Amino acid sequence: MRSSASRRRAGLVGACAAAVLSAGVLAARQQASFTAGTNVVMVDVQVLRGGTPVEGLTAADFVVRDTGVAQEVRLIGVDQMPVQLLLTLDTSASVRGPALDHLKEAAKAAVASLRAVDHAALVTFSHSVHLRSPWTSDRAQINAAIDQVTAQGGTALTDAAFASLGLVVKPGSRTLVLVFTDGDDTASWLSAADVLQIARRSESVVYGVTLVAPGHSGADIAEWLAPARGASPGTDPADVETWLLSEPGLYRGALLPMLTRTTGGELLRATETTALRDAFPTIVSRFNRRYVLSYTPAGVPATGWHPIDVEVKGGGDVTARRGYAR
Amino acid sequence: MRIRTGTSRPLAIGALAALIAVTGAIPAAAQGGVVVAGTIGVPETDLTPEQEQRLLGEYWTVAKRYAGDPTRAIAEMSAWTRDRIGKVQSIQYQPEGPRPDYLEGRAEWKPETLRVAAMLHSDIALAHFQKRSLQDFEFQVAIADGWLALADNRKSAPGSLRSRWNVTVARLLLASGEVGLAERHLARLNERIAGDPAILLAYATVKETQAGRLVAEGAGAKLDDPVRSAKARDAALESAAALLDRALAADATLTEATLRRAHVHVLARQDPQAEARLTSVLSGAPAPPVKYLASLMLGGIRERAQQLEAAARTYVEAILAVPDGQSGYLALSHVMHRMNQPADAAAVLERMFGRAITNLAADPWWTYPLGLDIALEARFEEYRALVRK
Repeated sequence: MRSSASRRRAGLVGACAAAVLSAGVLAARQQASFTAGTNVVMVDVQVLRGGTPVEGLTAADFVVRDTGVAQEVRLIGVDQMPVQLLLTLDTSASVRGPALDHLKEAAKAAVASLRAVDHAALVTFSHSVHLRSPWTSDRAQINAAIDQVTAQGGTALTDAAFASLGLVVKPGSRTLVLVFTDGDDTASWLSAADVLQIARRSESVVYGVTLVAPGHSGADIAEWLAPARGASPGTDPADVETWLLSEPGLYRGALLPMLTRTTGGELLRATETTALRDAFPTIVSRFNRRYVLSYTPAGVPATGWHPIDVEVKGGGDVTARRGYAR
Repeated sequence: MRIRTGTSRPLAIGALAALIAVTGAIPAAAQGGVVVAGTIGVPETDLTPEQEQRLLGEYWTVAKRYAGDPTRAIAEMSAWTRDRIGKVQSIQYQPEGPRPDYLEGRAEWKPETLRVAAMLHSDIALAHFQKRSLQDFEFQVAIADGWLALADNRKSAPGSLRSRWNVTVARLLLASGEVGLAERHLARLNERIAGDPAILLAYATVKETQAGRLVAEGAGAKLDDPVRSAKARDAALESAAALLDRALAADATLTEATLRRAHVHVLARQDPQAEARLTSVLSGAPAPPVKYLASLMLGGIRERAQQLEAAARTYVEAILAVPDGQSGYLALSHVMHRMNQPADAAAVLERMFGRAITNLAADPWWTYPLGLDIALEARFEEYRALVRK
């Protein structure tokens, strides 16, 4: 129970916020929801064997531990849940020219691969973050928004990632945030640590596509984390996460690798923008072949960080969010 | 070196702003392709005194024209080879100062005439810069600086036209992503005009921006750890701190220097010192962009101190100072998440998106790495007007 002093302080903040927020938004926020808002935990899981998604698994095939405690899980058919695809695209000056055309084609291909029940939204970022199209099932609307995109300015990847995770999502949907960038952050106010903090509370799954380009440390870090088969062992992701949190500026290139890891997504490295045309719909396809597990936590603390560990009987490369904060 | 700067694009933000800003400043002749790598004349070596005088006469006829007909002067001077221009300046630099025989010759010694020539070469330099012809740009800048130095009888004082013009040139370089050139330019300038707070501030801005742009690199197949990676960043921060301390010692009223010193404290994890400086900045009723930036930085300090409600109030102050400052909304939304108010956090983002902020100048944080005075066009125009009086 909060103290009266605490309530007074919160009231002051509310009064200040009211000065910033319009009346309409203040009214709307009453319905806004960042997470499911219930005690049920949803875990979006990808299972690969030999790099290919494994299909046909049942709830009995999964072992899920919350804070080390095994949980009784239920499998929710992904067919029953609409997908919300948020395209978060780098439109900084370096994406000008043919690269921008390739990016637009890829974005449209991703939208085209959605089902009729699915929704899409478009966020672009350069120095600023711009919501080009809110959630819509109207393909013409989202494609028109894609067509209008131009490229200029710096790269506020961190701010864009935060804004994307903070966008209100519809309960009962699965949210796929597809982030594309070709360079390191150059303009954000927020730090990578700020975004990871929020990502831990989000049920959205982030897939990243990073372009290998001169001076793009993010692409280099992605390679060091997942070196090619036969190469020397790469850098331990746990170390990189620790470094990112302690020195977010120096390790800002690690944001996307760590963000995809935290939310249970994947990071793809493209060597040229022509590859985006295949990469984007492939991500949607992979997302549609994931599993959604749900459980009501039992035998674990009510608050704090809850690490989640997911295993598949019979083995496989399992990707899922690494925990949640309550 | 285990660390390198990130992509060179970061400063392209300002680059665009600055380049757009100076486009209108350059007379049409320079913009329209009249500026060519000089072609008139032959190598000027071992000239006789008579030939030297003829060269001086030709040069000053063109240069003086800049005061009344800058377009024609630029067109004519642009056709001169670097060799000829350089020879003119070297002739006038031969004596320690004006001498009777030179006064009687074709050389020009009036400070106002020398400054007219300086601005002529300044405009030609800007035209070369727009074409990314950096060698020609640097040459013309050196000639302009040479005339400004001679106009000051080689003893330019802090705050002189030479100092202010050079600082603007350095800011143009910084804004255009030419951080290395900006640094070298300011390092030389700092030696030539010692103790000038504006030069120290610009130089510190470059160092601070460099520190903020450094990213960790790899050694072999692995990423370097923070112990190795932070060395170059910390060295740049120390340089910035020392320069800002000297700037403030020379002029304690420099608000931007105080703000930047606070930010350097923040980057060096010296929050108490940063907080004291930011509080001092905010108590002085600063201009909205400064209030915005100081509030953002102060909010960050309060967040790190777990004073989340105070941080939120400070971010609101920032937004009220600059309502299109996107960073303010993001910071407020973030702290609301930390306060476990996700609905409010989302509402703040909705408000931000509703403003559709794209203008580069909308958020002072976006141009902060370039210096708070980014009206470079206005500065150059001010210098032109000054010499044409």
